[in-house]
Amino acid sequence: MKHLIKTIILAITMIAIAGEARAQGDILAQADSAYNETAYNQALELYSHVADSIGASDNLYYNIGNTYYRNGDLGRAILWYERALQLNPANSDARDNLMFVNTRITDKPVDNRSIIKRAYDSIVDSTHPNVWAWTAFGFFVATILATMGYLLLSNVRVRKACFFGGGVLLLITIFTLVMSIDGTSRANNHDNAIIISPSAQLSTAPRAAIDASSQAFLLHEGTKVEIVDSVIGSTDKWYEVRVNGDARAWVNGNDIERI
Amino acid sequence: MVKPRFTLFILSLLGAALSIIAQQVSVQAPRSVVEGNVFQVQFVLEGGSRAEDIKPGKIEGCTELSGPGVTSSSYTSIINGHREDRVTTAYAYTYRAVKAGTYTIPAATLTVGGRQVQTRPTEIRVLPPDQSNRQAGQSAGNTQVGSTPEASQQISKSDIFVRIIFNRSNVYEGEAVECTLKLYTKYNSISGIQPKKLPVFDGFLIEELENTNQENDIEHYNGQNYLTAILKKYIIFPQKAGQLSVSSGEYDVVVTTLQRVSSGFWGYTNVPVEQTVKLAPTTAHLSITPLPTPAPASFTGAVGKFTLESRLNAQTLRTNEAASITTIVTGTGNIKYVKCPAPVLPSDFEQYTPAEDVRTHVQGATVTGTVSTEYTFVPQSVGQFTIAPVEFTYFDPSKREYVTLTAQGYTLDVARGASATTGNVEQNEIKQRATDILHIHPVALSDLTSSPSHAVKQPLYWTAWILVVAIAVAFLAWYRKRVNLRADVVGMKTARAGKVAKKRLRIASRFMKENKREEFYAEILNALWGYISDRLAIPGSELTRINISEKLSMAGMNDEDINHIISIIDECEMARYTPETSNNSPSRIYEETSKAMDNLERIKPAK
Repeated sequence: MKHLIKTIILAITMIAIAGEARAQGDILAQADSAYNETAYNQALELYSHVADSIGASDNLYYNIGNTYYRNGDLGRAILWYERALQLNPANSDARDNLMFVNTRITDKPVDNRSIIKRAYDSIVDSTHPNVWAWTAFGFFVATILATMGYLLLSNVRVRKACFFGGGVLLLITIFTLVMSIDGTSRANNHDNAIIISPSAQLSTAPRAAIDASSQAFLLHEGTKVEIVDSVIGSTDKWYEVRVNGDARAWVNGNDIERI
Repeated sequence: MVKPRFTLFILSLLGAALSIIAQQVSVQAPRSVVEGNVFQVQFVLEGGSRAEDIKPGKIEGCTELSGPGVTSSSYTSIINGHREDRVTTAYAYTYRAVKAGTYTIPAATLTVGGRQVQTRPTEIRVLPPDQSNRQAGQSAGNTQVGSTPEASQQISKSDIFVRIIFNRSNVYEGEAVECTLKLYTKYNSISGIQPKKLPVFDGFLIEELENTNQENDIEHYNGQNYLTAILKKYIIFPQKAGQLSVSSGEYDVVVTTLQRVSSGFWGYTNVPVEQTVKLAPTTAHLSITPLPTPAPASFTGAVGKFTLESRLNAQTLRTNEAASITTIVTGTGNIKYVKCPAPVLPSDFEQYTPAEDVRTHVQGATVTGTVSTEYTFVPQSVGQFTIAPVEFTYFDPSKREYVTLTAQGYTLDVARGASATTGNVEQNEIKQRATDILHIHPVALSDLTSSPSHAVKQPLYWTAWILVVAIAVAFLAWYRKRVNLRADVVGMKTARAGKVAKKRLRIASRFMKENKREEFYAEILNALWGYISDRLAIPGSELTRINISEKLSMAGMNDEDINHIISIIDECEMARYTPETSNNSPSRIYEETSKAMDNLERIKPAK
């Protein structure tokens, strides 16, 4: 008897899960059609529901970013594009839209990375860290095979080729592994944030600016900041942020949202 | 007193061009007089003869004092033997203005040579006297209009000033306002006026009018009568809402004053002395009402009343042949600043800089005109193209609302024209402009994860690496062992000696069953010799009976067994070439060999 009840419960759960998945698919289709019919608030609600109840994907976040943009909320649009890129740096449409929306915001983003750093970043971001990881694995296997060839074969030419080829393969393995590890650490880096309120007055100390001297500078929605430090006040939380790599000030936690 | 100087400013030719060409009659009268003053009305007859009779009408509010005083002048000229006589006769009547108001000088009837000529009725304004005058008479400090000041007298600010007059006080942004700068003065002896600083119109677009009306007049202002003259006239268009002000600019006015100079015995005489009076700028305010919001998208600032028209200036359209669309806005208002709406032409039409044409003229206090813009284009490809109708929105201040006009749109059929591009074909580049975000992506349900996984963070991934290394190492170890074994050929042979010998014995037993004696013995010999050679590592060339027995005894085999092996070899060699006997049957040999092999297997070969 007990066994039977268990089986029934299990079956019901299975059906519920399957039904849930179908329902979520419907919700996504509804959200897409709401977006196409310019009912952006509804589309946003539906996408957010899917993101909360099932999980994330870069395309889902990308769609949420698009919806925010259509609603005129450039700050959150940038936030969600950044999130999409964190899930999958190879989502080129998200990158294109992010670049486009960055041209529409009040504060002009400054890119003060060096050329080498920029090239390195673009290589790291060119594909998903897992692709890097398995590429590294593939090259590692190739390196091992080359090593074995060198150790075991008797033809001198083949052994030479195996020796030098193995060296190159080892370097590639190390490089791709570094890419993978760096990409993974970027994907799990939550120290960047986006200003989401229309304008945020930054102050020189972790409290609201009381006079002109304690006002650091004004930032507007959509600007990306790097969180350096945080202080939990009695009523609100304050973050010390770095903008464009150098300017540092404190911003109220309500004005920003972490990527 | 009405001075002749002012009365001479004429209403020229107003009453001119009556029916008789030779005889024209005109009325000369001041436009305004101050109550109590005496003025003259003259009927001037130009022509040959005098009037036989003249009947002026009665002017209300005035009393006739005297008249007609007749003055006549004649003029004769002879040019190239051609003689011309002209006689002008003026009949002057003197009146006194009694009551303030606006009256009509009725038409006077003149009988000239039996014909009756009528003058035109003219208007005259009788202004109330200066207010303080009425109470205190000719008091000091209150200047009579039209007087000449004395040199010693301080010229008061209230006696000469510039006024800014708007025709309306409250207008919409962009609505036309007439602005008149007028000089007000008590003195008739103004000999010059010099602008020092131009008028300032902040926040206005201005349209200066030509001052054709040089007429001077008397005006009642603030209870006082002044002689007035228009300095400048503008039509101004306010460009922003709120309280805007206009400054009149600065003027130097030269006033002739009289100086009493003693001339000894003859008493005093008045000598005219010129005096310059600086007029400080005066400011006038105008309150501007903002245009209602939100304005339609096609509104570009036109205020007034307009009509819109669009014209296609081509019968047929062909590729590489120019055609044009003209947009014409006609109307009243800030027409000079109106922008004609541009039609949106297809992108593969080659477009030229539009030609704009503005034609305006002033009509009363407004500006009327036409603004047209011609958009020339050359179709580049054959096909049907649609040009959406242009829209033009203006604000109508009288209706207090925006009015949107729509001109006609076009559907253009472009036919193939003469090919202008031979050899030099310019290809179109498809351009994408960054004006919008890219469209949403379909989201695959299977892609949705609650926690994204990263390979380098998972033990399984690193296990795979370790596994690869482990497999490689294991393979290497196995291979190494195999290589070592292969390198030790002798050891290999020794190890495999028994196997080979047994194989040969099996073949031998097959021969035995088939009764092939010769082959049987050969195989038995091969098995024995080969086994001993492999087992004891004796090269084939050294295989002799002596060698074998030596090596076998070194390996620790007893002599009996050694002799047994040797004897089998001998027997086999013998039996190969001799016929079968009972004691050397193959089955016995086979058994003996197997036994010998077992004995050999037991020995340990020397290294």
